[in-house]
Amino acid sequence: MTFALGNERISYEDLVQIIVWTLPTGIPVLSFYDHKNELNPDKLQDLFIEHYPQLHFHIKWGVSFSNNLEEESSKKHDLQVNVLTSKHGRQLLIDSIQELYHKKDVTLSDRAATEAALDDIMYSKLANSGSPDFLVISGNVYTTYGLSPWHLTFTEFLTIPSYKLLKTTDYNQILSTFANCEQKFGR
Amino acid sequence: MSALATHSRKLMSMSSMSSSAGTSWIFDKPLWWVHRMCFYVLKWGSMPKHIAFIMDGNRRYAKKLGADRVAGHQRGFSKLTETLQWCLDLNVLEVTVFAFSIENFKRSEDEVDTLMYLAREKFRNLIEEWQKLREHGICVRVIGNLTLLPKDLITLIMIAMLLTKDNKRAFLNIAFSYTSREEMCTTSSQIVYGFRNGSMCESEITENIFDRCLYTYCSPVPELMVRTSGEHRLSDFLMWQGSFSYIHFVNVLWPEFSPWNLMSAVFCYQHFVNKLAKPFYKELPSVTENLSHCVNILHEERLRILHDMCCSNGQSMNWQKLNSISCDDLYDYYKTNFKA
Repeated sequence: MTFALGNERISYEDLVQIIVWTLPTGIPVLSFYDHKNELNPDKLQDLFIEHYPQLHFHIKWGVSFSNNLEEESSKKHDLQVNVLTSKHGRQLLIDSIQELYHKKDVTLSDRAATEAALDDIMYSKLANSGSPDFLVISGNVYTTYGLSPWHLTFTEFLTIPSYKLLKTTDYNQILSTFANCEQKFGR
Repeated sequence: MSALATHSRKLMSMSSMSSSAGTSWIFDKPLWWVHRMCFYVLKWGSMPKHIAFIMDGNRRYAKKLGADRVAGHQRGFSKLTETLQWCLDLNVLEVTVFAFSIENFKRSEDEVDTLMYLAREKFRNLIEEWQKLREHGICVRVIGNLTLLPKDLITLIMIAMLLTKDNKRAFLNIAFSYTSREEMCTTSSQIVYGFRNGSMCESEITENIFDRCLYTYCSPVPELMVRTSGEHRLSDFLMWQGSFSYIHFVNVLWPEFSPWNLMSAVFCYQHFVNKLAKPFYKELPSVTENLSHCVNILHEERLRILHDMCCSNGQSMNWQKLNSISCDDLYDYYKTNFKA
């Protein structure tokens, strides 16, 4: 699940709360996408550890987090948290194409092979996380704010007025909305 | 008993719709004065220049009326022509529609065959109406991986595009046999292949180059994307191009889409346009001659592959010649060789 934070000022307390709520749900990856690059991942991590030291070991701090806790967080975890920035938008695909340029073993005429190669490159750039099933867009504006177009092909969108001051019931409502989605994949 | 009568009346109206209406690409009926007045007011605000539609819900509409799927798709086509006219009335001069996804090939053979049959019929109608389209200045482009389509359909599509290519007032892009993932993937591999062969450095691969190599390279990005049927996803449609667009989800089936739904979408766009992440640029930044040459080769190669797949009476077609003849001569050529 990914939260697009939209145009609002960052509220670290609310983001920590969302992480805590997500932990017991079984959702494996939670990403926060900040297209304005204002979210400081280390500050988020510090605040989480300060408030919930006992939960810290259940979390793998993924994309954008510095590696100082890598050893501890690479142990068995329940949730991976990523912070995505503008470089995880269209530029992610461009960077991956540039890498593909050097992979001479990939048969470019084979579309499936090219797709798999690009997928692999992006998978590693996103700390082994793939496409989000759900995108929660904060701010009531239906737009993806430039988040990686490669990864949103079948993602379900939902807008909320704001991720700030979200209540447990609101969060449950989000989950229940997504739980009721059904995809046909062209059929 | 009365419910049964209503039901059969609906069925009869569906069948009449599929036989009479929906054959022309031009919808001539004037707008109701109330709609016209609202359109006029709306046009005072910031208007999108390009709108993309995901026309979802034809089958559900047919099911709702107890009609067969073909009738639903026919009604969907009629709605497309109406919507195009509303867009022109709103001064939206570029429209892209998602007509057939590569994923739709997964449907039953019977349904895919029916959709291909309908597509042939619609492109034949389009070719027949080329003069009318020229009067209205409408250029039709088909985007997608056309190589996956039957050869005769590719030929019809190519002729339709050629007949309308010089029309410059309004543009209709039909995404047919299209998915965004396929587009991004094909574009990526062709760029890498071209850059390697041209001994060009990988650092010259940029967003600008990628934009120029997409199937939609002729079009500006859609500022507004509309999806009907209440689903809240883009289903692999214009993912790259719509990265910064305002997306409007409408809770009606495509054949039920009305001028009010379009007005509501445009109104919401106007309301939110300043909150979108990136101002829409009008033209792509220029590139060096070398890069431009590389991009041109890529497009020529794509066209060559399609031309090689087209044939008339089992013979390959001389596209160089067809490109240079007048529309009248091209239409005569079509009548002689392809008219059903």
